[in-house]
Amino acid sequence: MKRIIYPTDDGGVKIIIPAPAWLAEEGNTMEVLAQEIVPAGKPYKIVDVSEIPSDRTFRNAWEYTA
Amino acid sequence: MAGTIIVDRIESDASYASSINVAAQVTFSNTVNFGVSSVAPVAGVYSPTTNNLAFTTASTERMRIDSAGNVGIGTTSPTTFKSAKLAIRNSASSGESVLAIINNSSNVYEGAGILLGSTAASTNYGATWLYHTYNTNSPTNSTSYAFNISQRATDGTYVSNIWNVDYQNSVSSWYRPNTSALQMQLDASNNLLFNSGYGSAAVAYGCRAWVNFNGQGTPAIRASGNVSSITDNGVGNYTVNFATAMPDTNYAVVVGSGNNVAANDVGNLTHISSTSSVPYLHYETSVFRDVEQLFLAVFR
Repeated sequence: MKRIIYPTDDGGVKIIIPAPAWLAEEGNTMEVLAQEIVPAGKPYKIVDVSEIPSDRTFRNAWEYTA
Repeated sequence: MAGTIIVDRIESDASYASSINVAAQVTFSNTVNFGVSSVAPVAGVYSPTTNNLAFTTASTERMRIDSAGNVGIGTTSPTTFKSAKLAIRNSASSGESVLAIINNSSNVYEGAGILLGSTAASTNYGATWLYHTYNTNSPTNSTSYAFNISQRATDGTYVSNIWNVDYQNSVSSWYRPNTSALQMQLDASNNLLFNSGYGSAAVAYGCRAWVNFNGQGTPAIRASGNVSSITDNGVGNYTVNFATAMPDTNYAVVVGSGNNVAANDVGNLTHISSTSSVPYLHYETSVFRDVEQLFLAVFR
């Protein structure tokens, strides 16, 4: 499973979680999702879900690293 | 007499026997005309009335082509039935079909079992009709029906429609058998009406998008419809992204949450400002929190 991450304007990070039903449709990929959701001009990365911390205690302090 | 007889004309004089028996194959190199006869052959062809041709088996007429070219099977008068060009009638008391059309091809997708159509310029006259009618006259229902399935009672009387497509009013309707109760309809405004159990058919307002997701640990979507993804913006702060955008921002959102831990001051917030996504915030005791069960549905 994958996730898309991209930085917020205030230094944080947003994480896009794909819907399995949407991803199962022909032509729908993580790249397509990134093009649709990530604001134009923002950098983004497609990462494995295992790279996302499961402890969300300090979720609001997470940062995007290129 | 063995051999071949070549003649230009065989004609029976009324004063003599009127049958000719030939114990061999007869080949006609030109047309064959049948004179009018009141006696049906055992198994053959004859003309029962002027310009009519009938086919018989067991001394009984089975099929007729009338003077106008109309064909009747089981009836000597095909035009009786709505001026049909082809009428097939089964007068058996019960248990027999009138017409069997069987597509027994290895791939049923390659051809229809029955294909109805019309190339008439005017749809008023070119409609495809399928209905039950007790009498041979017009059906009881409206002549505006392009396609109609109706039913009759055991005494043969017309009872009600089951399904009809009314092309003049652009309405397609489904009724409950044995009643005239409308159960479902596609109306002229393209609205779908159905009886959901409260007594009558009404416009059904569909859920345009929905999602059930887990906000704890590594947030994940359990199930969804018309949702491409959720953006995790922070603790208790999400954005639901639609796969297909709403037509405008006048939609309604229903949000909910589930948690094993009872808490006061629990709420879910949203604010509609986009056709492509909608925010979803969950809080408990005035603080944004992640919980295991988060739900959102959109209606328009």
